[in-house]
This record gives sequence, structure tokens and C-alpha cells, in this order.
Amino acid sequence: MASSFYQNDFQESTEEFNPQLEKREKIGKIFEILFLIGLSIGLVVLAILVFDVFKDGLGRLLTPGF
Amino acid sequence: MQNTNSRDDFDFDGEDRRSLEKKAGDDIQDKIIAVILFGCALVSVLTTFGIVFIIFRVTFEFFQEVSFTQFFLDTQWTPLFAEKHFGIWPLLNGTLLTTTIAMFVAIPLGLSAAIYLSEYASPKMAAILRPAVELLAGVPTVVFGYFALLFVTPVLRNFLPLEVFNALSAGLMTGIMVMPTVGSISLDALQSVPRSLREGAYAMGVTKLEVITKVIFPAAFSGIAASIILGISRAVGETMIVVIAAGQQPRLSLNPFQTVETMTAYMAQISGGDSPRGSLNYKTLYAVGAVLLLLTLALNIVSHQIASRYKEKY
Repeated sequence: MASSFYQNDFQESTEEFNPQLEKREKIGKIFEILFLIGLSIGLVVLAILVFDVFKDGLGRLLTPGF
Repeated sequence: MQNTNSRDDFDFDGEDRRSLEKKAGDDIQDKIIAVILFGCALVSVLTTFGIVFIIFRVTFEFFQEVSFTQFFLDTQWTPLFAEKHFGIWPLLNGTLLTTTIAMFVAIPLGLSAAIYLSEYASPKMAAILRPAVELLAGVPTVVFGYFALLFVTPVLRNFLPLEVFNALSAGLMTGIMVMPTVGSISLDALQSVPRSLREGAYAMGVTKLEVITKVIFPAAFSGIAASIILGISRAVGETMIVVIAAGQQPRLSLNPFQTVETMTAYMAQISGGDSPRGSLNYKTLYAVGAVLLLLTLALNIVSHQIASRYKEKY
């Protein structure tokens, strides 16, 4: 009764709203993962860079007589 | 005289007089500090004017020997060859190509990082991840350059027909270098959006993504746009990565797999000392520098315009 009291032309019914909310939240979750991937790419490149520099650099530094 | 009399008329006890004398002393100190600070500001302003004056003076001498038509309409840049050409477009093409590739990397990655850290990450997680991302900004560009040449290019050559020196590797690494600049400034812009706007939107029943795209992003747009243009300016002015990884062959081509030469790379090449001072080759350094200066100045003006046009006041 209360819900029909507040119902107006602009509001969707609960039956219409609930599935859309699920869909909207799913899209939101996908974007959250995309944002995390974007952040991770930068960190992964940094990790690869540091690993590469140390892999090549340490080999030279540990050479006897260097 | 009257002043002296009137001053004598007051009955100061010792403490008040000391306080007034101290105040006068403070005023003089303030003035001295103001003069010193003004001097410091003046040094940077005069240095800027000095640089601009010298660049444009030699550029003027350059244009007395090379016409505007040759400079702006020729499609070849070969000032060191016997048959000289002075068309700026191959260098401008190299700069814009590497910058475009860099911004295709830096904008999505930087904005993703900023949005995730601002809206999704817990404060503890953000406190760990933000410095880690900003660590990328502290890596010397020469390290990025060699990383592009010795790691990125060989890996990409397994899939793509790249030349040893190419715009793609240089652009990708420039993008990674610029990413923290875009991310960090965008993050500050996103975090400066008042909490009340977020809460108002959540009260309307919208999801987190909708709050970000329809409320926070538009509210922080001026800061985000400024971060992107600052990132473009950094990419345009980047030297070491492109000198090492993009090569030194001016070419009017949009193919990112080929060797190109940017304006900064040419300037680094000429300033190596092979061109005698006062020669035409030497003057090309200043002409290219003037174009680079005007390009970054235009970007700064656009950035300022966007920042003031879309600035939100809360």
C-alpha cells in the first residue's frame, strides 16, 4: 500500500528496478576489475623493469675482479 | 617635529616600548625577507626571459638563411647532408607519433589507477599502492630508454615487424613514464571532490560506477584535463627514451614500427658538439628548440584555459 502511495510516473516498479540494479552492479564490478588491471599494469612494468635491471646488473657486479 | 612631540606625549612604560621596538624590528625583517623572496622569483623569471630571448634571437638568424617556406613546407629534414633540407615536419611527426602512443598508454592506465585508488581501494591499500605507482616517476628516463631498447623491443619483435629502433617501444615506455604524472594529479583532483556530492548521489540509489562517471568525474574534470595536458607536455619534451629507443632518422611516416627522430632527439644529437658554433647546423638547434617551446607553451595555455573553464567551485 505504502509503495503504491509513493509510486509516480518517474519511478520504476520494483519488478523493473531489481533486475536492472543487478545488471548495473555487474557492469560496475567489471569496471572495478578493469581499473585494477590498469593500476596493476603500471606496477607489473615496474616490477619487470627492476627485475631486468637487477638480473643484468647483478651478474656484472658479481663478476670477479669487477 | 610635530611627530616627535606627539610621540613624547605618550607615556610608554618599558615593556610597551620594547614591544613597539620589536614590532618595528619585525617589520624590517619582513621587508628584507620580502625583498629576498622577490629576488628569488625575479631570478627564475629573468632566466626564463633569457632562455626565450636567446632561443628566438638565434632562431631569427636561422630564418635569415632559411625561408619559412623551406622550414614549414619541405617534407625532408637533412641539415647535416650535402643536399640540405630544413622541413620541420619529419621531426614534428616523430614527436607527435611517440607522444600519441605514449598518451594511449598513459591516459587509460593513469586514470584507471587514479579512479581505483580514489574510489575502490581501502585507505590501507591506497597508502601502499600510491607510493608504488609514484615510484615509476622516480625511475631515471635513461633506464626507461635502455629498458625499451633491450627488453621491450626484443619482446615485441617476436610478434611485430619492428625495426631495432622504433617509435612504438619508445612511445610505450614514455607512456609508462608519464602514467604516474597523469595518475597522481588526477587522483588529487578526484579526492578533492566533496564527500557530500558522493553521498548525495548514493542517496539517489546509483551504483559506484555511476557515481564515478556521472558525478565525480565531471566534478574533477578540470584537474583531470590539466593532468592529461601536463602529461602530453612531458611526453613532448621527453629526450632520453626517444634518443635511445626511437632512433635518429627523421621520417615523415605514421608507421610506429619504423625508426623516427623527435625534435628533442635531434637537439640532443646536435648539441653533442659536432656542429661548429654559429654554423647553420648549430642554428637549427635553436629553430627546433623554438618550435618545441611554442608547442609546450600552447599546451600550457590550453591546460590553463581548460582548468579555468571547467573549474568547479564547491
